[in-house]
Amino acid sequence: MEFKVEAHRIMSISLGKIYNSRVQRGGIKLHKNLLVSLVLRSARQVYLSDYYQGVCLNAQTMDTAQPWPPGETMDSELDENDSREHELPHEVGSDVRTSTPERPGSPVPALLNDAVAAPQPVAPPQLPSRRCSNAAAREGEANATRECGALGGVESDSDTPSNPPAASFCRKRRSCEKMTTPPPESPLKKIKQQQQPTATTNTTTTTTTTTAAQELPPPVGDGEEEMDTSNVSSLISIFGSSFSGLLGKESPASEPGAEDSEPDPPSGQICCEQVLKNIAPWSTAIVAF
Amino acid sequence: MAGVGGGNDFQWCFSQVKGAIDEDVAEADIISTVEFNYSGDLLATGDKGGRVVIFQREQEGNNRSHSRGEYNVYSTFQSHEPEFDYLKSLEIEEKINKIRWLPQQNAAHFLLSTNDKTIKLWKISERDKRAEGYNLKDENGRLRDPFRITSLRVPVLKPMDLMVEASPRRIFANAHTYHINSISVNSDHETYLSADDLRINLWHLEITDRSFNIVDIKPANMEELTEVITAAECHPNQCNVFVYSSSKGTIRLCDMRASALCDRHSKFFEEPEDPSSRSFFSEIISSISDVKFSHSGRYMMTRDYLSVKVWDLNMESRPVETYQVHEYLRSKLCSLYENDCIFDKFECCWNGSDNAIMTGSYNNFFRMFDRNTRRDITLEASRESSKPRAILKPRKVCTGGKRKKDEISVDSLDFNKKILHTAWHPKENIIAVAATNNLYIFQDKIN
Repeated sequence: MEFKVEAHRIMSISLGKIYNSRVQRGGIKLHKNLLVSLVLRSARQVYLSDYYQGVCLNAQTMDTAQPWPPGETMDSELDENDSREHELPHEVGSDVRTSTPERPGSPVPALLNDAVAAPQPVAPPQLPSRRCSNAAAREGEANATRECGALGGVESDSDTPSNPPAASFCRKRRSCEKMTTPPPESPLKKIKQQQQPTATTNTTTTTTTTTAAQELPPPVGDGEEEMDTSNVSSLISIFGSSFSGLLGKESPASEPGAEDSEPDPPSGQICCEQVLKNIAPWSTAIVAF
Repeated sequence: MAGVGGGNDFQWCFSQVKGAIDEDVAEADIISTVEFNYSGDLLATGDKGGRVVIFQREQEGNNRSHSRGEYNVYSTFQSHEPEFDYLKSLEIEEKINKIRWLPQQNAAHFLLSTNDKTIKLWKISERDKRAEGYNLKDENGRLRDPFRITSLRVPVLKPMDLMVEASPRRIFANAHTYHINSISVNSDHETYLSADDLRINLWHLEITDRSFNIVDIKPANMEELTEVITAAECHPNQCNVFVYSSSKGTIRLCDMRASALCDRHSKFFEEPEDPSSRSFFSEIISSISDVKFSHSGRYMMTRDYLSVKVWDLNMESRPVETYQVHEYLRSKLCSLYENDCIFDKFECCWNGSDNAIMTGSYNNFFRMFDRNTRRDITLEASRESSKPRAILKPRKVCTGGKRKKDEISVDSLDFNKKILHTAWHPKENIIAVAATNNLYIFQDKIN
């Protein structure tokens, strides 16, 4: 458990550093950002593997809720995040998302590439809610497979650099809603909430890692989920899409396959499985349910 | 106490300190590079404000036998100015990353100085005579009325106060997309190399509009990037050989005779990682911040965050010597990551005879290792021990348990006082240590 907390803290700090490097004098330092991204990757691996173990344990013991540390409320984070919704985190996330995935051993988010090669200021991201509705609309017509495959990685059809992470997060939930029967949705949400580790007191960095907290519907029924690090969780999943090449056994070569043209359009069920595979740590829990 | 770098009676003494005593240090005054020239008579420093200050050693004409010549300011000039890359909307810092002297060939001195993007060749020359007795102008330079001239005279050269002029002779620009981290003059005295994060270029000192790219590790897809070049140096006597170090803790030796593009190395130096010491930060602390050939050319030394390693060029599998600089920091890596100290790039240097090495640490400490006796010593560059010819007392960091008197505990170390740049006189036991905005010069005490 301590590893998870530590890993989470290190991830927050790393993201803060990547952010700050963009405004530093002299331009982005490639070396330092590469090292920071390596740390971020290591921390994320520990974080996810720790979570994965925790979830397995929970699944086995049928224990659905973990106690939350007091004092961390999602609402307060949401308030804080409101003002920051359009700021850096979107830039960070959006730049990361523009990285065409996933080759193994590619720790450097595309933001560095963008920044070093052609650092135009990132276009102000649109409101996430709007994006979500676009996503939903697109979902209606688009090939479900393509989306599912794209969820693990970057939507190949998206050319705009300022694709907020909210979109992907929204879509993950919605596609799951669509594809699966309702019950898995709440476990999914529950598991998401369970995944949220104790946030550290490093508020400045945690707020910079906010993403689409507003997108998540408030937790249902469960009186214990006050805390939030859904922000970091979202970021993790987003980074997961960029770093999935580094995940090794978690998202193997099937992912690039999913990125590219699907050989046969899978049914909704298989599609969901693919999505779940991409949301690696949650897959086992959902299967258990 | 027996010292390092010489015989058993060797001790280091304070000699001089340059720079303001102010507690408030202006960022522009922070020294970013220190380098002796080939003879050791000149000592150059570069700072974050883009200035170069050159000190010259006084001739040992005076009768004081207990101190050698002192270094006094010889020339000061603004080498680089802040620039703006309009195409990329990036500011280019004026900080001097490296200074390298050229071997002296005539009365003037030449050095290369570089910031993140541009390398400049500077000529530093003296003027100590001027002509007097012109016919057409008077002493003040005003033109004389030709009709008033009744006689002609031959101007004579008269001595004047020494004036040292620095003029930029070559500007090598627009060859690096990424930040330049190293320059190194080749032993042929005609070419030099410059290295940035992903590429190394070879230049001719006379030609500014062209350079050859000899190493390019930029992947086709930047997301596949896993390592960058951190330092590069030419071999001291084989003009076809150079090495470059990477952020992964590896060193590649390349031979320019083998092919025009040295992407394939001739030798690859890497020490296998100790799996028991893996942490989140293993990759960061293995990144090499400096690589230096020994004067003999047989060995090279690399500095990573916690240690200095000496490699035999004939053995690629592991270093022949490893010295721990501040192993007590290994348990503090997380805090050092938070405050960015873990990214500090320490340099290292050899003494003239290659039997001692020196590198910096925190709290204004610097460390010296004697390769023969395996003794090491920690010294401090501080104003407190700045009395002329005061012997430096060895310092010790207490790593745990009871703190002895005169020891300092790890938690009391000041991580803002870091010694990143040090230089050792090529022939004598004189060292220059840059502590933020101050330059300390120490020399050995003659017993």
